[in-house]
Amino acid sequence: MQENEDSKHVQGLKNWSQEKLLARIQSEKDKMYGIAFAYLRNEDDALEAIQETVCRVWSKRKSLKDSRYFTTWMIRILINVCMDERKKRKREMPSDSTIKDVAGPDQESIERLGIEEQLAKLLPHYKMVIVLKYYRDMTITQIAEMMEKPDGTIRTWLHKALKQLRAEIGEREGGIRHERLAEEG
Amino acid sequence: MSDWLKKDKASEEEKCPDDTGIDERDIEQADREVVAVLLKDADLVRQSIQLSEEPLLTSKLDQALADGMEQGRKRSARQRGKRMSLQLSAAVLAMLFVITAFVRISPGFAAIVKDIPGFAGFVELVSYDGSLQSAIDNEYIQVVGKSDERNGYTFTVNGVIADAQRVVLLYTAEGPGISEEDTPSLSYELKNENGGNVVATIGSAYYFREKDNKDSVVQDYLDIMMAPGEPVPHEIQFKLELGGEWLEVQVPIDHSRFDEMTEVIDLNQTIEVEGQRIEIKKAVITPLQVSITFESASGNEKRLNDFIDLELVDERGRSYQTKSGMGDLDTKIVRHFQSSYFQKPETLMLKAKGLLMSDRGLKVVIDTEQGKLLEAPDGRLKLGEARQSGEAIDLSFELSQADDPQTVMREILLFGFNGVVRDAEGTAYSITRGTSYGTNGTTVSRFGAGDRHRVTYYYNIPNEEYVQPLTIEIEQYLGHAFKEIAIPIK
Repeated sequence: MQENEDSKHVQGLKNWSQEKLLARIQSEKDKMYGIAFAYLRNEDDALEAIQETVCRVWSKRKSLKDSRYFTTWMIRILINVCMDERKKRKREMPSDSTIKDVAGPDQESIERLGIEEQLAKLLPHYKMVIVLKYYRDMTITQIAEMMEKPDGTIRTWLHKALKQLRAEIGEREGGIRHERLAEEG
Repeated sequence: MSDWLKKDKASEEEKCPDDTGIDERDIEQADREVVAVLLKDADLVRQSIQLSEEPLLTSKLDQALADGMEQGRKRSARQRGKRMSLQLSAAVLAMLFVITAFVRISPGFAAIVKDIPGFAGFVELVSYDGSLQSAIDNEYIQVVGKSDERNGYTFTVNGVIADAQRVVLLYTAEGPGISEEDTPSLSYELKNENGGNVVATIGSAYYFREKDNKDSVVQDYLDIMMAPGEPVPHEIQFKLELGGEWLEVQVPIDHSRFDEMTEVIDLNQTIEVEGQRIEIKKAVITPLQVSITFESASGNEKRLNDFIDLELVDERGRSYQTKSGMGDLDTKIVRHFQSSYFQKPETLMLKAKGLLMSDRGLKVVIDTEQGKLLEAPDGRLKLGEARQSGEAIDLSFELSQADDPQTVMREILLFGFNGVVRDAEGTAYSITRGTSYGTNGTTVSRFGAGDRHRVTYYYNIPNEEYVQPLTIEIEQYLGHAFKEIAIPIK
């Protein structure tokens, strides 16, 4: 009996029905969208990434041995999908549709576009660390778990990413000022 | 640089391991400005998520979940279906799969299976295959009903549908832990009456199987399409592994049931499309299959990949589709069509709308260290990623197939079956079709929601000390020529 109890605790998703799996995914959809949108910065891509994630979750479901880690496991898949997605679109410019949605003061849009562009220049895993930390308020430990790396590695990535951003935003700001000047003149 | 790294180490020690939120001590003074910009941007992102958190987004999100699920089911089905065992002597195999999305159960079949115990489960399985269905509608089936039992497992061969080209073994597996959900593919072994291998393309119905049924019984069939020139055995020794044991049934195949049912038509006609020549050698019509042999002229300038919308059409406009074949159109291929045998048409016309063909000598040049594509035939082919994973480097290539004339998305043979990758010094290593998503499947074509015509091809190359860049020869590529083809077969 005890054994049964134990084995019950470390059950995978093998016995989950499709409905149960879908319900479980449903309960995490806001979390997934939050990450996907913050990383990919537009609705279509975020939805596509989620669709791909669900697809992989379904086809890989038997590989998860302990259903207690379902959320971490699924978010990990999502993170990988997002990072892959971005590689594909490397050359594409960030879409400006999201900027229209939040039409604030001009300067804000410019700054926003600026940081979005700079983020896009980072290596995928650097950008992901920045997104999870500053856009999704995760701790280093949580990020380390999601990305399957030691805390120290995440810390290093974070610092390198910030440093790169610092350098690039400096450049960029010079650029914006220059542009404004040209407009006025 | 080293300075702030050191600082970070120091601050790390002071900190409790389960830090929450954004720890200021994480941040180098000079980074504060950047972090401030990031946090401001994060607020805007949050706002824009909230702004769009309307019923429309929720419903789109739900749709994405449902689509993902469906795609996942198809993907796992596709991977299973392609796990076919190929016991071929030399021939290269080109299997062409089309997803069939409907079930049609004919009343005739339903009536017959009523009388045979254990046959009900085959109703749906067989209904996906027009040839098998019309065979059974015409009572063209040999009932076997032989079982083997071991350790609580039972293996039964219920019946066999066979003709001079093809053998379909209908079987049932029962026992503890056997269910459609958990039995992705049972290992099997086939021998002919002399103990030799059965040289054929062997497929199973798993491809079409819905996986929701959790009974302790699995019904499936093995579809054995004999290689050209290989005779159908008189008896097949069919072994199936259940619960770690091999169970075995001898399946007799009564040749007298089909000896007189083969019609061979010599054709020897030539098709020419934009200077490329293909000879249609012959057609073989049997109850379960129509096979047509094509041979391409050796001097063809283009690499011939396939026909566009190839089908057989009879005088009443009925179409007989082809979903598989053996060989390669560029040299010699035998295409298998749904059988017209029981329909007994007066005439049969081979039709196609043209040819899929590509230039020869195409290649890609990549740098796997930098993850860059240096040379490709055109802008439609892109390198997805080049990622080191242990002993292999996983490569993915994305191909935009929007110009393809086929209505069904096809998977091309981007790199050959015996393809090699050559580094800058000319050392050659073999490439394999990739594993992806951690499964030991084959190439998975990915259909992105944004661009439905983009297909991703996965390959593996060994993780060696390459001298960059690497060159891979392309086997098949995009390209086609339209021409209405209509050749009378009978």
